[in-house]
Amino acid sequence: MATKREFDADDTSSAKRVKMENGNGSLDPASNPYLAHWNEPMAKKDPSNSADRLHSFKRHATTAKQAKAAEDGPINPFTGKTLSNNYFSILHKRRDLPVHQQREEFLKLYQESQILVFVGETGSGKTTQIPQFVLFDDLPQLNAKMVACTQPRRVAAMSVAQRVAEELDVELGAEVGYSIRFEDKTSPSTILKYMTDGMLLREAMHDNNLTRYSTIILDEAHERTLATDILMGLLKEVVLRRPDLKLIIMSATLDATKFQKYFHNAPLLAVPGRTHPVEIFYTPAPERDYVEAALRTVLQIHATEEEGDILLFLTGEEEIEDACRKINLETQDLIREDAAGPLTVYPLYGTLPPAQQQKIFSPAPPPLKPGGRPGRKCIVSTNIAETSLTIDGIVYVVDPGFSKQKVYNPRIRVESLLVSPISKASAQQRAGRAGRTRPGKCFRLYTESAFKKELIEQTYPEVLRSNLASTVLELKKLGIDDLVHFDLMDPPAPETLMRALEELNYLACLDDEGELTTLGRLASEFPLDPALAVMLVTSPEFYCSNEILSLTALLSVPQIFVRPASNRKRADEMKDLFAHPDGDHLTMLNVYHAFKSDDAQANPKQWCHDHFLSYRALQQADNVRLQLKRIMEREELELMSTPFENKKYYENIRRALVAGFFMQVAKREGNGKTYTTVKDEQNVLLHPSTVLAQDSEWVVYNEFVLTTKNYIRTVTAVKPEWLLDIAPNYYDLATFKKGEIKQALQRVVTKMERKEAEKGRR
Amino acid sequence: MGLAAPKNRSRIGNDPQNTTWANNTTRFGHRILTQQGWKPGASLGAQDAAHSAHYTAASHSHIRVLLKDDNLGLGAKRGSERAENFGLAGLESVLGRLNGKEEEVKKEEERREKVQQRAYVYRKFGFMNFVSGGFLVGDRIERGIKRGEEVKVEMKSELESSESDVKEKKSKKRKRSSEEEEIKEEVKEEQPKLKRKKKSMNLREEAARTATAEEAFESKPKKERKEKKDKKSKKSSSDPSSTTSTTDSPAPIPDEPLSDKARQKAEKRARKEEKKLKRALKKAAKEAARSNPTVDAPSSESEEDSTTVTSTPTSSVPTTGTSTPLTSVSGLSFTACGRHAVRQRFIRQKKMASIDPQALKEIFMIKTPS
Repeated sequence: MATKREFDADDTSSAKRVKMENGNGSLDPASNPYLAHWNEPMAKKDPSNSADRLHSFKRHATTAKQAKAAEDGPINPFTGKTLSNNYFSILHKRRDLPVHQQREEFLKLYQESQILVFVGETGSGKTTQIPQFVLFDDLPQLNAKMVACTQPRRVAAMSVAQRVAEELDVELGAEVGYSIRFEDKTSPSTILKYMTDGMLLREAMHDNNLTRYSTIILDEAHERTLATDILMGLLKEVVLRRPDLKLIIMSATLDATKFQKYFHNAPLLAVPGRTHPVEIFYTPAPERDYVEAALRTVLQIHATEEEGDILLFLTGEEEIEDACRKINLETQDLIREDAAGPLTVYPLYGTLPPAQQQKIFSPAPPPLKPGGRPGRKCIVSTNIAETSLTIDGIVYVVDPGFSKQKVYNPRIRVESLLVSPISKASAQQRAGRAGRTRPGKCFRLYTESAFKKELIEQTYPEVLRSNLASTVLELKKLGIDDLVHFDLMDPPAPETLMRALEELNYLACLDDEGELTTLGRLASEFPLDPALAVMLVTSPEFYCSNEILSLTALLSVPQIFVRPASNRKRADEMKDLFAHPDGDHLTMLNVYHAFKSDDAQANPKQWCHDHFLSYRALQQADNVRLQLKRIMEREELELMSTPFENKKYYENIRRALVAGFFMQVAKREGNGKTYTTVKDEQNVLLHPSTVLAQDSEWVVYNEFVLTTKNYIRTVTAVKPEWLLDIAPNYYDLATFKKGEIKQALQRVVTKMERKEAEKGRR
Repeated sequence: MGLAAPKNRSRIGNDPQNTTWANNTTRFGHRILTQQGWKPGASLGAQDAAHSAHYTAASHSHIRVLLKDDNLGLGAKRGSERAENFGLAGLESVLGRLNGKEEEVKKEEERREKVQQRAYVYRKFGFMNFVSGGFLVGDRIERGIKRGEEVKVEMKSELESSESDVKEKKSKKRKRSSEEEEIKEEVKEEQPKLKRKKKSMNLREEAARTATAEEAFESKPKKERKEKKDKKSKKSSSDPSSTTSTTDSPAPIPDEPLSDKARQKAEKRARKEEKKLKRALKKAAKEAARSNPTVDAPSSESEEDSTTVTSTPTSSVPTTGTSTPLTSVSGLSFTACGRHAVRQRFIRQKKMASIDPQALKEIFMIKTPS
């Protein structure tokens, strides 16, 4: 292993040097490829040299001084090649970061205890520096292990890995790599791996003790994503089994006591960030209309306050776009009246294409005339600007105190996406955004007493707000059988867990004793919701696994249809081109097939634009499909299609859909517009975006969301016979409540029996 | 809102909480959980967990959310939900007094009064007020300055005091009271406009209105102060200058390019100095009866505070250092006489115009097919 790594190091080093020397323009025999044999012995010397350097290091007994000396070069201690100028200029800046002040302290605590809670405010440099500190002390290369650092977001994992590779003067994917869903950029020489928390969880499913790692760093633990929470519960058990494994929990908020308590009173190290004081302002009385109040505040700041950018938090895409339009209109007036400088407004929300998201980083506009009032930019954002994105230059924050939050209700199995008050912690986080570059101000559009009385302390972690079906499947795969006593930081409501278990039981992923079945094991191989996974796994039985594979991919990416506010009618017309009368699933499939046709592939971007489709989503779906296909091939699931000419082509697909989504079926009430969900008996409406013709009595839906009303989205018509046929367990009439649905199903049963009898008579 | 409120019909199903499911104890999930040692009513998680004190209610039962279908701000209630609308508030305080909770009742009444006064100001001007809530240092709120409270109170009483001032000083100060009345007039003039627009709270108009209101607000104290100062020496200077400039009245306001905040700060400083000077002069030169310092001082202070509230309590801004060089510049601009009169005239004109819809359209540059 070690020899191999050395060889790798040689290889890259010489390649890099050639590039570097060329850049300088000087002629050095070392850079001459024809004299490669000359510098061979030299290159050989380097690694031994570097090895010496680190050999003097004793694992878990190094000091900051030693590490500093090693960092000072001139030879890269990990690769053995000479360090570049760029490295030293970065190193200089790195040494200025707040965490460097406490390197010695960090090392001491790190060496002393197995678990460490590290608190560093944003801007302290913890995400990039701490893993490097660990590298110099843990020396994972000596034991052929790795250091893992998890991130809640894919983009963060990628960009941080890129940055750290630069800082260590290595190539991305070599010593420093990253691993995110559907993309793995690591190599055998990787010693530091940035990854999404979900990826580490997936790895744990196959390697329950995570033996590949000597240190695991859970970054951004304060965000409390589902995967981080599960990982914490898991690692808490793993550290008992593996005394050699070190664990660092990194959080950005000072509410670390909870983490400490959870991890057996682990020591805490706090590093101050580089934040400036932020002055908080409340309104003296509650606002009647928070959006309007927000707009007025923004305009007032713009007209009366000093230079500095504004960040306004609103709840959703529509609200944000609307606000942007209004602010633009008003500032034009202000400028005309010469009451203010120019103001550029940028929206920011998750579904915005990345190119437009990047725009928020562009500098504020210059004054209209030299010496005039300075311009500023105003970013109107959802709560992604609260933690995920850091925008420098923000001095004013306007916080109406609301955000859209996803909450799952296990009783009626609805996922609500509603505007609700934020938490105190979240309000502080928002305010903190104003103090990144200089002292700032935060204008809260509520009273101080409302802040104290109406806001909860902490935002509920994801584990309390989600459907846990896939989590339970993962936990089962992780070998955790006692779900009741699994030590989560915030255990979910019992009903949520019950619902998840029941869903898995009906999907036949768990047997009646709660043990994982073969189907369950197979389904857990897919990074998908259990219902989708089961649909995919069983699709060969319906001779349409190719199509279901595409459909699964399409259902696991963001909305593929684009419907811009300015051009709704045209967008709907375009959607109608693909519409299939039987429902949205088939419509999506039509879109995908059209997208893959030669016609569209000639210029896919333009084609998508013309047809009001999201190129990004379709491309992503394509990528997901490829990855899922690989898993299917690995698990030896057959890929097949019913011939398109066959009239059962679409029927088979709809049947396969039922096999996964039989628990998400609704029946129309009489001849009206409303539907009732089967078993849970909730009144729902078809989402207005559906293409489904109105005369379908039974539909299967992909999601049940509560936005303004109870809506079921992405629906396809099915036949009740299929339900009884494909999911007899769920559609056991004895378990149904008396009512319309039971009667209807009863009728279908008798009809089927009669047919059966007729067939037998013949 | 009562009967006038928009009807919002929604059907509630037979079992919106799905208690059929929740109460069924023979379900698979229930069985598995009890098998593993869970008891109904208990929460999940490790036994005797050290961090169990941190568990929230959401660990026991799912999170309840409310459907929010309006834009009501945090803490705001719909009109009909307020106790005072039913006269319940009065009853409450009577009962409270009977129960010997005099102090609490008083506090509550005061609070209510404050809210009402605030609402009055809000209706009139519609601009935003903010109360300092301290500094966020790191993750913690630090409050060194307890200024916010004072500012609030001052803010509300501002209008009252200016009105009462008028009554009190009418006899003493003819010039001054006429000024006050002018302001009152302005305010009154604004009222019909507000009423008219309230129905269609178009944001365009709204913001324009706030802008004018703000301007009026800003100019008020300035105007007064200047008038006071000018009274002695250049009493007449403002009038001719304003008349000359009325011909080109919609011309841009000269001090606009300066950052408003800096200007305000500077003005405040200049005003303070002037105040001192003026007081000294007053005491020395004028007879004691003429100036009633107990009335004058608080009112002027409140005016000062009102301006700071509209932006921020200046003294608590940590960047005061940057404003010092600006002082001289804007201090100069302040002494430039006549400009404020121009501005005041301009505003008044605008207000007059706002009564005339055609002129209003011109001001707001609304193009209408005529």
